[in-house]
Amino acid sequence: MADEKALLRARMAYDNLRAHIDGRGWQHQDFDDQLSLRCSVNGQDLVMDILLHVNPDFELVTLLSRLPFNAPQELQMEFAIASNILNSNIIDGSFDFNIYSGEMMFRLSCSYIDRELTNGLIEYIINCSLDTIDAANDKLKSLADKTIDLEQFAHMFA
Amino acid sequence: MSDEMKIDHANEVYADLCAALDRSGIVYEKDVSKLVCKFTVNGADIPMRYYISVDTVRQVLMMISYMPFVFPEDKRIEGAIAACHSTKRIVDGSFDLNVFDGYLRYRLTSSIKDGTVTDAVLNYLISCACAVIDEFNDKFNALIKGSLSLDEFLAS
Repeated sequence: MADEKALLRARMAYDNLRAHIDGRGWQHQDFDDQLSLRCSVNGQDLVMDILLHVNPDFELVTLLSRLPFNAPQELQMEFAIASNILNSNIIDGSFDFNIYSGEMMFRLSCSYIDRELTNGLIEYIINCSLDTIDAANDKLKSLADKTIDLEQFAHMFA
Repeated sequence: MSDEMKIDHANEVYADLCAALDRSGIVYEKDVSKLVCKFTVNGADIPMRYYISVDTVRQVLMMISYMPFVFPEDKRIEGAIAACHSTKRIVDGSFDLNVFDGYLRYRLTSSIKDGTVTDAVLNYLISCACAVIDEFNDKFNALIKGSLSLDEFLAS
């Protein structure tokens, strides 16, 4: 359980996040009591829903973005392999595949231990995440739609 | 930030990383030309070998630990499913299975933007990585050896 100082720092981090999103001119839905906010961004191909959350216990900011489609049940194995191919090729963040529901979620966490959550750091969290999602979401969608197979998917990231 | 400033900042972060490792008492190997530090931590069951590098271009610190076993070809689909299941359960970092060669790594990345490595940051990186790896490495190993089925892994 976070102490009062950690909660204050988390609140400051959350305020900085909100101010940054306002600065981008993005509409957002706030969940102040959960230190979370949600917004949507248009990517090159698909809309990206993002949730930003401040975790006072770990002094961690996490960006979560659920892809707007699920893997069909019969492609569970292909998607498990695809997420490992993606995660082996990216520098920061991960594509977390839920093998039960078929949901694919991108997650990037950033610690603010011994530093402020500055505009530069928030910019990094958002830009790195959006670039990574944008580079993969259309290919994952094609895999889900069966317009490409796993071998073709793998070649795109080889 | 200019390229020169990025190089300067990466070098400063690397110096701070080495200083924090010195203060922690961890014995480590340095490769100054690559801004890399390597060390081993003894876990509850399997020793954990860590590789921390400062990436000048991307301005991140990457902590990587390869598991000391390899998924044979006939176990890689199970390994991929197990890696997905484990990654979904952790707060920071991910298990990445290279489905082409069978190597499994834990990867924890931290931006060095507007920050450096302090004792608290190093402590977070090591304690987070050790806790996560220690929880899963023996199960991955048991999955490879066949002493744990995929269903048992998912239920554990």
